[in-house]
Amino acid sequence: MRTDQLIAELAASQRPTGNAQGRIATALAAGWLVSIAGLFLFLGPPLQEMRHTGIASFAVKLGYTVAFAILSVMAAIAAGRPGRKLARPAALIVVPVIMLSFVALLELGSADPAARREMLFGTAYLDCVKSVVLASLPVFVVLVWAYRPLAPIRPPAAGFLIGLSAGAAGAVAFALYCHEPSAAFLITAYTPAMLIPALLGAAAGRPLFKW
Amino acid sequence: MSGRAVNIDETKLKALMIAGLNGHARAYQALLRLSAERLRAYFRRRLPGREADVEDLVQETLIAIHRKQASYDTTLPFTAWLHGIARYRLIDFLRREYRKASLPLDGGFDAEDNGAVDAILAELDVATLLARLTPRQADAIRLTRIEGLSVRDAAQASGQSEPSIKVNVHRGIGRLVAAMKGKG
Repeated sequence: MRTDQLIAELAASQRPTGNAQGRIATALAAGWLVSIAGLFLFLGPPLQEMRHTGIASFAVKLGYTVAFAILSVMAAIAAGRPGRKLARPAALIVVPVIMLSFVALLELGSADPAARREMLFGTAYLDCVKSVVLASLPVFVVLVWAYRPLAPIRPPAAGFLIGLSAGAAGAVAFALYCHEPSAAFLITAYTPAMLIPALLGAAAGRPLFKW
Repeated sequence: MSGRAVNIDETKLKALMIAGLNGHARAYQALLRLSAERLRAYFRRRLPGREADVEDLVQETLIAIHRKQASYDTTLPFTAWLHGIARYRLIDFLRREYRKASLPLDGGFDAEDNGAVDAILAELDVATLLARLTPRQADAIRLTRIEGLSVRDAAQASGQSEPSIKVNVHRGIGRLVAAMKGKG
């Protein structure tokens, strides 16, 4: 077929284009609600542990995971827009990790040495990691769907960032159930747990985001 | 001086793209035409003397522009976006070409196939040929050229858009002709 003809047909089918960012934000919220519903089924009503951990510890958890989720999604969107540089949005994700590491170091420094091990690894380390990874799965699925109008130039990078966003959203959901009070636990358990879906996303990036 | 010309182009293209995103078909058509010219020059420089491949890539990239238009960030230069899309399509093309070159091309009928009824053989032959193509190309050719559907009906039956049916038929037949020539 001639190129002119193709152009005429493409133009004839042109409609106003939807907003990709809004689509992704909606998908994120929808996936997150599914995760919450899933956790509710397995773990019962949320926010029961706040009585033991205190509101400050809960706020740190929520702040860390929400900041991480927002920055990852922003970087994932940047990865799907040709012409946008990825370095800065990707580097920004590290900022909450560094800030929280400082808090964790201060906290560990002022703690009784005998209590440090539990502050770092909690009492149910693997349960936490598993819950975060499972809670990230519905978010991952809807995010992959919502990402389709975007055009990732480097599919593995896009897959990594989508996985990281899903992991962070899963962590936000699990934060409502977590009974570990320390900031150090967020670094040692939550952060690796969020990296698991990210690595899966990177590995599946090429087939998943091919266009 | 050329820098200035590029800036004027950029301003114009970006305005057309933004109008296109808002659903203005004529602005969008003008944008695609201007983009096609740029793309042709871009691919010609990288694939000198391969006019058919250049034109295929131009068409593929135009379709990619159409399907991925929501990925354009209107705060950034249009030409940077276009270049990103074109570069991705070129890399994809070169990768496919490399893969095709590294696969053995013959692999037709074995001796065990003898004794089959002619009609089945003919159908098998078509199936073997179509198996050389991507599933979308094979579907497009089967529906329009073998089952005789119109482009519109084929688009509905296969879930592909009408332009992509046409492109897939065109590309698929080109590839089949090339494959048969190669076989002698």
